[in-house]
Amino acid sequence: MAVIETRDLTKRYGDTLAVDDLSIRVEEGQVFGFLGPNGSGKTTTIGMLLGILTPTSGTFSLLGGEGRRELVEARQRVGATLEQPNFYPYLTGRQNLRLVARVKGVGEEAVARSLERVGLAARAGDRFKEYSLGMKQRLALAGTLLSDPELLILDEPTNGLDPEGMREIRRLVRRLGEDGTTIFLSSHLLWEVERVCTHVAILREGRVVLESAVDELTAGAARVAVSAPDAEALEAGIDAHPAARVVDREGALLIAELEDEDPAALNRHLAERGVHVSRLEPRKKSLEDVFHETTGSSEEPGMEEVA
Amino acid sequence: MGGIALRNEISKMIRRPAAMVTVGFMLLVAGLDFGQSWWQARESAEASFALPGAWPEIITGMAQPALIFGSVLLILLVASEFSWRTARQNVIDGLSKEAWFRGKAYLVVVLAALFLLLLVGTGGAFAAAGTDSLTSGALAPDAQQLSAMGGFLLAFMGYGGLALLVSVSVRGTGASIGVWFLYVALGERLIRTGLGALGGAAADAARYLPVQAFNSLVSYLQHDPAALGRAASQAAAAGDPPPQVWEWEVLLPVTVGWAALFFAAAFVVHRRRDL
Repeated sequence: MAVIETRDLTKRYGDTLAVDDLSIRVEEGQVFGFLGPNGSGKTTTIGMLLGILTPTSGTFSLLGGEGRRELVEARQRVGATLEQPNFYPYLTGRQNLRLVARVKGVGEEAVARSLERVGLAARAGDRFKEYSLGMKQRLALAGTLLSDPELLILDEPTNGLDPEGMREIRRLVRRLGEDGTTIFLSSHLLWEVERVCTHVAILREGRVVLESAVDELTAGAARVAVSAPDAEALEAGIDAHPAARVVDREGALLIAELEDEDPAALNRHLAERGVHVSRLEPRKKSLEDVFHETTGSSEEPGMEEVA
Repeated sequence: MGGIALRNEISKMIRRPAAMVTVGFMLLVAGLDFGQSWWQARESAEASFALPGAWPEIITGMAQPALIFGSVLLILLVASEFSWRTARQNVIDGLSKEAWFRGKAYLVVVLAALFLLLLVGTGGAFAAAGTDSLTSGALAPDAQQLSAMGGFLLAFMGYGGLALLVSVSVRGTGASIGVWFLYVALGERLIRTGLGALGGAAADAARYLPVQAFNSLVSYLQHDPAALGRAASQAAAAGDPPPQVWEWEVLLPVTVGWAALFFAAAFVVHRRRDL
């Protein structure tokens, strides 16, 4: 079953096209990464799914619901965070969660369990305005977990967390994914998506430019990192190989992509040309490589604002 | 969902320092005013502030400040949801935009009842202290006084509806209070003058502007024909024109209509705009 399905979803702000005919499909049980450079339309898309933004055109379904009433009902079964956490500053963490619990139809024990789960139980009596950004993120996450949601939509969930906090969140997301919760994760951290997600969609200028399983994306052509005392001869040697090409550089290392996935053949070819390789190391294609190839961006994707 | 939203609204309000300060300030102002009446009655044989005769003053004497404080409190409670972005968070958490709005609309009713209770409680306590024998007859309001209470509640719905419309349109606490206050204190007067200058049907229409109509609901003379008769006699004796009140057949539909229009417009604005 498609947990999220968008069909030609479009959002326009005046002359600016934030999301352009976006069509994606997230299946039950997937941990779906939503990647894209700044302003590519990730947060706007999530905003439309959550009902805070009205699409200019196009349709979508959430947990099988599509009409206004069905979507309201479906959103009850969704846990979501969007951009920075927003709570009542004068209320404590626990009081804030109680308000969310009422909306989700769960009781005090769910509030306590959720606070425990994100490691905030000891500070639950402090007012929200006294929380650090990391604690605010944890509280937002606790809110999403209150009702054991069927679908978790997380927008930059590790933003503001320290390395240990980030690890905890990744562990939690992975565990929830293994337990069968469908997760839709928007993140600017490519390695985070690669570690956690089973599927990914890459956005550019409001359009999906790539949607696939992470394994399939990173499988692709084989890569090797090669170095030799004579770097010029090495590069010329690789260029002369019919199934190899230099795609990147890491200091003295040349990164070559091999069509035939046979590093030994490349080594033989170089040796025959008198190039003595000092290091040859097989490399897996990373999601970052795929991202840069797809978007043409030289930087990691950053966060964006909802217009 | 509207019921849950209302419960959440009450939970938020009773813990909000700004709400407590506003209610406290209203209590202080009402206490000072009713306390002064009670003190004057104690000191002067000609003045009286005892039940049941004090009910008109209790219900309508401090109605204007109650309408203003109540509306300001409502703006604080609604507009801040946009500055803190909790209105959008509420929807993300599963509350529909419609249920969110219903919660705020119910809050107007709760605040109307709260501010009426506040007036009746504060004024009633001082008047009871000045009453020689407290019988059930002295405590129970009569039909006119009940009508005045109903008038206050309806006026509050009108003022509150306008405050709600301004809050969901402007979406900032300070700016919303400013816009609301500007209209109530000045804007309508300017419109009335402008329409009056046009003459004819426009001048007639000026009579039906909202704030003017709502204010008539909290004039005790509007509710008590005997009091109106006495005021007319006094005015005639002084050579002044008689006090004017509305026909109920006109005032009721005009005020209900304006209040309904404000709520409906607020709902449409909130539903159409992105959060």
